[in-house]
Amino acid sequence: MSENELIAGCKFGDVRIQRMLYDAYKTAMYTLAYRLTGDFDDANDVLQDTFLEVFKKIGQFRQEATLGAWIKAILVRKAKKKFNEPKSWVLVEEIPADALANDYLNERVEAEALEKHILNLPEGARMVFCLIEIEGYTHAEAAGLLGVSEGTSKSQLNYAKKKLKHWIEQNHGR
Amino acid sequence: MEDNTNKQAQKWAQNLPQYTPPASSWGEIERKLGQGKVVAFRPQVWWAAAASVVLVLGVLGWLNTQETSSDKITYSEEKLTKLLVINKNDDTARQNARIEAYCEQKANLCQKPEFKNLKQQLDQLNAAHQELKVVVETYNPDPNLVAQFAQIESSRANVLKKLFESI
Repeated sequence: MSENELIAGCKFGDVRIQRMLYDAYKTAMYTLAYRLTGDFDDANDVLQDTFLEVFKKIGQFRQEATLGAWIKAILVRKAKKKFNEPKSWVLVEEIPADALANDYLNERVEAEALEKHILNLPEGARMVFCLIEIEGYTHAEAAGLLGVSEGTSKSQLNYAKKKLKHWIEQNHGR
Repeated sequence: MEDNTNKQAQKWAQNLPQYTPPASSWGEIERKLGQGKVVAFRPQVWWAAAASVVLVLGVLGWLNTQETSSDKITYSEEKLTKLLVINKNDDTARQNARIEAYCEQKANLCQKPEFKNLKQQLDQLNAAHQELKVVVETYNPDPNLVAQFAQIESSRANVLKKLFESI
């Protein structure tokens, strides 16, 4: 079934089509929700809230972005609501650009170990890192989704990279 | 279709684990949606169908008006070519392609008001045709809607005939 057929079926409130759309995107969205929240229960809540809003507002989807991008934007905003407290966004110092190369991420760090380090990052830094480094958003897009300035997005990403580099060097050697 | 954001993720990120939500997740969503059963045809569909009927009736009424004042329409005596012969069984895309191909060769004729009016009617009927086609194919609705679909097809054929008579 094509994306347009999925959208048309969901607009008509056909639960079979809604289930097909959910099945098509559930893994990608749940994985992102888990990385953003760092907790499986929170990820499940975010996933459910996201799809409820998707089915409720599918009539407003104008196909200016892909369906996946639209769902993902809803999910990021839902996840962000879990961490509205200021303490979630650590104050970070400026870091020289040469300290930020992420070549070390391509080296011999097992995916599971890297995932564990990513999940140990503070919420704000983790969200920015996931959106920009894993999902491929720009700073402007990530900042817009998270409701922060581009400067905050950049500093949080720098902080996340510095932390990851430190942990990887400490635990896996260079 | 898992991820259509067109973003280029880092190569290392592609090796990160993927997680599947609990099987109960969909049940919770379904429960919160308040839909325990398949909804085959919701009120919005009836509104869409009603809007289509109004559109069809409007076009038919307009056509009727045109027929009663047909003596005011002047017809060109252009020689028909093979390009003008449209098979009524052609699909919409092919019909449009042939019309466009004709208009590329006979641009002056396609600028005539009567041609443009008929083309506009055809576009509206094509839109109504597509909308009802999705509903009919997806939901196999009641005979009235199928009959309306057939009526649109008949009107489309009528407009196509007039369109080529006009040129």
